[in-house]
Amino acid sequence: MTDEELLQHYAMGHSEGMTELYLRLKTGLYSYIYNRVKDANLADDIMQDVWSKLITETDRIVEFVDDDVLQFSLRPYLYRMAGNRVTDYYRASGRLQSLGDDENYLVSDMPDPTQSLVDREFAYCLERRMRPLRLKLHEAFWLTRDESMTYKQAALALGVATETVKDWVKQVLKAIRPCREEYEYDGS
Amino acid sequence: MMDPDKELALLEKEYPKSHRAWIRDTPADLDDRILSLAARHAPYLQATHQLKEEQARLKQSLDDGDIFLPTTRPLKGGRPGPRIPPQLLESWSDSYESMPSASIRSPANRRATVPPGAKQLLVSLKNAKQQTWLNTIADIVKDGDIELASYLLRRYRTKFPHG
Repeated sequence: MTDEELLQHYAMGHSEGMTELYLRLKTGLYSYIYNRVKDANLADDIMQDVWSKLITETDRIVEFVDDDVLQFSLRPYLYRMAGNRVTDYYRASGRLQSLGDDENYLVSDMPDPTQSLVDREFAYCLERRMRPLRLKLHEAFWLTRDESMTYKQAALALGVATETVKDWVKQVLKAIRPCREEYEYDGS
Repeated sequence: MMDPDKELALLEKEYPKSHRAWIRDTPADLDDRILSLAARHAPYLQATHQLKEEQARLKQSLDDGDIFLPTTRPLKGGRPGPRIPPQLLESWSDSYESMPSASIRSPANRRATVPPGAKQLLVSLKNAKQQTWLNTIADIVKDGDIELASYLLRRYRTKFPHG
């Protein structure tokens, strides 16, 4: 069953539809949120907020799924909702430096102190290398770290062309390349 | 110059999507909270779904003339009133729309349900093409404003009933 079919199943009152949907998407979506806010408590709050909204608004959201003309895709919708919450948090906490309409940068993006030392060192390196890049590039990179998220779906979530997402991710991957050598970190 | 997709694939190989650095699982108590909310909400969805099905079935039966409307005439000996020919029977949806209780039915009097920003959007969409409506609704859905998107979708269906 597709994500959208599971939501339709839940909309008929079958709770197992939402259970399966949640189990399918939770790790990718939670990782995306956590990697962007680097705070477990805040990631929990945003995750709960996003799913609560999906659950309580199912009967309305499913109308979009049922409408063939709209070609609604659930996964980009959820990531976009989570991304908006993250940006709200950046703004509220003063972590966003804006140099124009679409030119936002993170002021600082410190790693989670609860991580192991090697992970933390690696995270510091990523932070240092990614900080000069525009926020949009961060979004594209973290969105596509979910194995089940295609470049096309990420493009839908970001509202840009698929090729643009690929280009942004490429820029990030190039920028963080030295971190792997620096820490001999294979992540396995 | 290297093919862009090939270059991306090579870079992705260095940092695979399954890299431990960016995979983080949810805490068990968060799973419990979300799944229990989903379970609590399911009966409401089931009731809503059944109600919608029942309304659709009733509408279909009335439109087809398969069932009788209750008569206002006193029944003689407990017998049912005369069958109303289907051609004389106003469809359920038509009669619903023409109900006299304008204070409830008329959209103009349901101000409380018009979401913020809807009025400005409707003004900007006044002479817009069908595709422009759809693009606007799709953008609002992506932004997560379901209330506004639902409202616009209802207006869209009224404006383009065969869309």
